[in-house]
Amino acid sequence: MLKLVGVRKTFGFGTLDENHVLRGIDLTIDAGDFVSVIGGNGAGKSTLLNIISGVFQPDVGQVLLGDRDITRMPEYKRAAFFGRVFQDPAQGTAADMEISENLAMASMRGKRRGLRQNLKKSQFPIFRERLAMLELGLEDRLHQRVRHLSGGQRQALTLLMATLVEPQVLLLDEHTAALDPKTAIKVMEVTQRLVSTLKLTTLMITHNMQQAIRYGNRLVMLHAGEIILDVRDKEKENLTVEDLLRQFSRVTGDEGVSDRLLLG
Amino acid sequence: MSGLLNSILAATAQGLLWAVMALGLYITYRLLNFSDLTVDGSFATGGAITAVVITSGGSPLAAMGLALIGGILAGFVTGFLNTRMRIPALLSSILTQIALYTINLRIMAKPNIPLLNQRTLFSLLQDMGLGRIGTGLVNGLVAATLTAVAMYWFFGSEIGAAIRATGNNPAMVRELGANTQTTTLIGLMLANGLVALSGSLVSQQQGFADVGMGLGAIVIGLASIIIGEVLLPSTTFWMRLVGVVAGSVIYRIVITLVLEIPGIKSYDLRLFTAIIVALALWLPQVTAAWRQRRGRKGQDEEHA
Repeated sequence: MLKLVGVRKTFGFGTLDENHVLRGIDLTIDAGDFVSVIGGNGAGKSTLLNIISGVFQPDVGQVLLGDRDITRMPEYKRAAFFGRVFQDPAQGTAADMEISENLAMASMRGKRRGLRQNLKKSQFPIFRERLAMLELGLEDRLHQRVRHLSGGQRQALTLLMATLVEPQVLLLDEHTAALDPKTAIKVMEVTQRLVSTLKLTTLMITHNMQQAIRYGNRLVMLHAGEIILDVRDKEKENLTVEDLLRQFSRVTGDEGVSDRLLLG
Repeated sequence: MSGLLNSILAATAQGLLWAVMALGLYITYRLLNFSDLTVDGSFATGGAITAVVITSGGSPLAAMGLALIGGILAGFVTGFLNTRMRIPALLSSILTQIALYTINLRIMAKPNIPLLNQRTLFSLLQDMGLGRIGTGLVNGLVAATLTAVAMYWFFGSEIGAAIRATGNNPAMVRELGANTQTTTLIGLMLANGLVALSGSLVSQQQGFADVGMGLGAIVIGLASIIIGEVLLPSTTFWMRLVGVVAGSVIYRIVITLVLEIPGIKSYDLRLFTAIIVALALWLPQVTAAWRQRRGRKGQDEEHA
């Protein structure tokens, strides 16, 4: 379904700050996969996601979606294929606009926008039904401005907006990292509910090992721009945090790094 | 007394005609979050085109249509500099503003064109028996209302919503598949189209077009927007548009009243306006700091 072939990315080419962020990534995500990508700071997780969504283009390599080569396609055109949720809850919604207006905009994801009114009464039942899935009571607050929502509520709303038009792949970029632990768990529950109800193919970036182990049918570990572990299904279910740390130390030859990875 | 009442009515008419400009500025300043200084030039462009069309025998409506198009083109240039050539917003608009000074003089071929005894939107109504002030009020009311209604409709549309969201959160707009370069460009074009239309109306009302007539327009527009926001704190989008129009009218009335003070000269107005806007822009910071301090004090007392 989504395929990365030999993807390399270097920032600051030819300068003192030259930074090889991705050093040849080959990754194939099958339809229905829920992949957790884990790695410490600077492992290249976010860059990987940004290359898939078109924020950056790879120096070398290809991004394929189905039979289509989307390597050079601009970000806004890829919106038709991907729904994205960012780490910062403020980044996924328009604060000065109403919940209904935000959802209405999301219902036009990847479609041609015209002079029809953005708010369409006929969509309101769908909005209410989806908002009710969040179990946050937002279905009764359609006309409230997003500014007045908490970080967790905004993140949950962003999840709805990312999935309202069913994306081919849902991309989650550490979308619970900026939330307090309790809210983070709630947002993860909502994520799981949406992913399984809508049967979405999902790629989730996280630096939380427990989260990566708990959610998804597949786990990919990134280190210094390379994939150092890729386990799925049965093998993944039996995985523990200790296994991950051991694997990490074995590959990097660095024993003291465990804490940094765990906490980072 | 009736003299003062008359000047207040005249100020209201002027405020309504300038409100079209303030509504245009609202698109860039508030909706797009783009500091667009093009307006000082595009306002005069509207006047320049109008004067040339009318003095060469064109109809007032044709003059206004062409002024609108002239403003749209000016907005396009600023948008092009910003989105395609990646020049920062403020600088792009200053470049266009400076360039427009030459363009406006080229259009007019001289710095000032009188429109006395010409067929304008205002002379037409005056011929129908409406007084000078009455004409201004009718034209102003129609122009401001039509502009606000059109804006309300457009910014409720799919494209309009994407433009509003661009000022709020461009990353989200791209994520939803709209090109923020295009939304910025459309917003700038509409805004400056309205600014030039306002310039056209004002030049017809005052009876001349002058290459310097747009000087300080941005500050007057900002003053109108901020006065509106203070008086009608943001409720619905419609009320915010009404607030801009009301702000523009109140600004003109205040100016008229200030001019009544003995010793105040008309050239003192720009300084006065600049001070008002500076204070108004400062106000939110002051109230925030005040709320912060009150909150801190409250906490101290709780812990004591």
